[in-house]
Amino acid sequence: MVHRVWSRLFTVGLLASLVLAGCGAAAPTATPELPPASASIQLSWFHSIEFAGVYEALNQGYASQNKLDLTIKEGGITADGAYIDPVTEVQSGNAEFGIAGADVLLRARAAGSPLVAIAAIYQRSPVALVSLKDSNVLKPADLAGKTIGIAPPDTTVYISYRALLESEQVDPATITEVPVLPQSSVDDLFSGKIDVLHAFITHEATQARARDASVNVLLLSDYGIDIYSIDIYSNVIFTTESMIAEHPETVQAFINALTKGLTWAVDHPEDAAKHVVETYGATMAPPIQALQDEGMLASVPLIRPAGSQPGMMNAKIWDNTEQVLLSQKLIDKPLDVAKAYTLTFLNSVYGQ
Amino acid sequence: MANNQSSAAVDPAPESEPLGPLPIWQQIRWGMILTLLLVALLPLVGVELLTLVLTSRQSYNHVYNQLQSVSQLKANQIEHWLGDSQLVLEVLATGPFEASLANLTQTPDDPQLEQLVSTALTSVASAHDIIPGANLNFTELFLFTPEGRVIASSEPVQVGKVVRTQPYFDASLTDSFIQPPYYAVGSGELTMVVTRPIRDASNQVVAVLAGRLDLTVLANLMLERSGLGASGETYLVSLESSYLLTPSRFEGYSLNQSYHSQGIDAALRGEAGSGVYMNYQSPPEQVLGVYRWVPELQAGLIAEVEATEAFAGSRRAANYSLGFAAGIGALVIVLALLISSYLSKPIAALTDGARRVAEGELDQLVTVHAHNELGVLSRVFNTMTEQLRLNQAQLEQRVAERTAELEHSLTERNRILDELQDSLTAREQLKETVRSLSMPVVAVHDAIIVMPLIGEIDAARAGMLARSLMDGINEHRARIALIDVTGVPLIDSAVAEALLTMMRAAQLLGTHSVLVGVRPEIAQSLLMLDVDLSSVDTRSDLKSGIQYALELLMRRNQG
Repeated sequence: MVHRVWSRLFTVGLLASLVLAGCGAAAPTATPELPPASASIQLSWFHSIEFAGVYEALNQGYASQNKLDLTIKEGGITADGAYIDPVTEVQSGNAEFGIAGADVLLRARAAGSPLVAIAAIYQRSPVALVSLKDSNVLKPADLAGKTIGIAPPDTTVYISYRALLESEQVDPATITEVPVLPQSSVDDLFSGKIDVLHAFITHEATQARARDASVNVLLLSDYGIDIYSIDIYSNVIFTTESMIAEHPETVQAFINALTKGLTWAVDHPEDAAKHVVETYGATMAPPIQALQDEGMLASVPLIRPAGSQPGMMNAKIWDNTEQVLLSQKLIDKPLDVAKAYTLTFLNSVYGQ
Repeated sequence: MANNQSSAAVDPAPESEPLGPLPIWQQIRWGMILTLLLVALLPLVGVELLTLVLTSRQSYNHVYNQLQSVSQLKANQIEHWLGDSQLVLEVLATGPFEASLANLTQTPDDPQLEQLVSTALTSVASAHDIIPGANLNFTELFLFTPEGRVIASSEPVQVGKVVRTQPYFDASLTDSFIQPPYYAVGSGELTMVVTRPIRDASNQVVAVLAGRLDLTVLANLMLERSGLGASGETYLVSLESSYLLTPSRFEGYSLNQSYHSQGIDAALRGEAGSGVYMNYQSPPEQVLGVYRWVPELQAGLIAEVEATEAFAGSRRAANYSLGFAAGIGALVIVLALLISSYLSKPIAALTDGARRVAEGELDQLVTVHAHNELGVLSRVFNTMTEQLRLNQAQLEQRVAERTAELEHSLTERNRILDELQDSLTAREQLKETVRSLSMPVVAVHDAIIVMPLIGEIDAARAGMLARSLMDGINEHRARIALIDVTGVPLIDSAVAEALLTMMRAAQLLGTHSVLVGVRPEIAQSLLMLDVDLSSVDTRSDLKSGIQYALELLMRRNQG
């Protein structure tokens, strides 16, 4: 038995050395292969088409092509009502990568967390205000006197909304803000409990449109002259400074896979939506499941805006975000924003 | 003779095979069929292939030219459409509205002025005849400041929005610009914008006039299928996303999807050309496509016709030609069969006839109804066979006659032989009679016998004499035998020996022999012989012999 094992090992070794010799002869300048790395990414919310690019990085085999054993961790709210905070998860080492709004990231950095954004899923803000046609909310000024169902105050959506009010000089005092639950917010709009709803154009706006095509959707990034435009990245992918310093190849492998996954998703939006429903549909409410397709189509211009590449980030938008946070006094002093994100890995993908 | 020749010609090796039926590949019939088919069908196939290649080439060229001109036409239409839209902006910027625009740029927040300009833009945007003959529509005309805020628009809701993050914004501040189609954030709609900067006296850009183009015009333009046949289509594919910019004419192909094909990819690489390839559909359809790059749209313009339709004409021609060729081919095959059987049947019949003749059946005639050499050959063959048969018949007759003759002579000979045998037997009998007659043994007294010898005595007769004497002695219980040689003409030594032997033999039986009748001349000759006759009693004649015998008898009886 032992003998047989040894002889088998010998055979295998011989074959391997032959193969290696062959490879060596064929590609003498081949760089040494990197050992496969494993990494996980903590999503910022429940599974949805928002993360289609991440799923496709896995589905289409881009992660394994880049020798990355990628694990995707669903986010959202736990049974006991706690938000699964990607910042905490990444800081504590539970995940190598996380997803969060640019505002969240800057505030974490201001608080001393060495987090760095490495790519953006949505390059344009998906944040919108949805209202029924009768409410006649066509421009920010029309918000005065309305009841608005708001996202929790610390979220990107809320900060963007406050930035809109400030930029368009709408007095917050004229608005009634009502907290709503994510799963019932659209119902609240149609039941008349609220006049206006904070929404992602890819999610709640799509749901509302599906119920009544005449709803008005006011896109926040259409406004904001003094602060460029209200375009706070709502889902940047970040990691830690130490990860970048110690495992740049893993970060690069992840970005390679992610950008390809994002590209695949926007190249095949219907298929990407189908994959999301197939893989995660069980946890979705049927009407939401049915709207993944529209949601994905709505997210295409966000993931790949005209003139940009999937994953790319823009310095102006980062600067804007800092301005918004400063003006809302969410950070008390200016940051070195350029350290909060890096284009190194993206530029390596796109050859810049 | 014929056998030997054919075996030598066909197969020199073994002699057992050549008479049997030949394997199919050695038969003249099939050789002839194959040759005829090759001779007739090869050129036919060649001509057919050439025809097919030429017609398909011709049909390719025809369709290619058609697609090329359609593609050129569409490209021209796009160019005109964009040129006309830019012209509208030009007219707005330099025409009667110029002053209002200039005023608005100075006081952007003046609601009255904004209203005035917006109304003007609205009327222009909805006007169809602003440029005669132009198929032109704007979904929105708007004016924005260099900071990016919309200060007037044909769509009131748009006033106050910022366009700084719009893809056309930076380029719009330097010169007239055409923003290729892109998907707008929020509406998610395909959008295309043309812009024209408005400058003040010091050439500073004070505002930008922009028009959002109605892309249904572009879609209709591409969907217009004149000159494209039943399956033809023209469409635009965007460089950035490989999405369709204008709808597919086929169901189930949404705009928002990346599409690829040889034509699409080549066009998006900035190439112009044509080819037969599989199109973007799933499952892909083979098409003949002409593609070109449209820089203004950053898009590929593709004109395609399904290959089945593109080559339908040539295929029809090919079908006719193939049908015709098949007809001729069938005819050739039938003719080949007929000709080969016309030629090979007599040969087979002749071969068969020859084989049977070789096997000896000479009464078989070959029936060949041909007026050519084969007919002659078969007649000659028949004549030859007939001649052969006649010759053989004659030969057989002659043999029969000869046999009869021989049989006849044989019986004759046998008869003669029998006769001879009979006569021989008769002679023998006669001889025996004579012999017995010449050798009598006569008893003259109780114990005395006389044996008179007459004629010549040879060795055979001497033996018989001895036997006769012994028989006589036994029969007559003779004591004395008188051998009378009076009748013997000559006694030679052999006869003398025989006589002596005979007499000694008689002596052994107790009979005393006396030679009588010895004539003087015999005695003389006996003396001349070297024979001891001393012991022999002799007497001159029979009478004295008998006397002597009687004396002897008496003496013995007394004694």
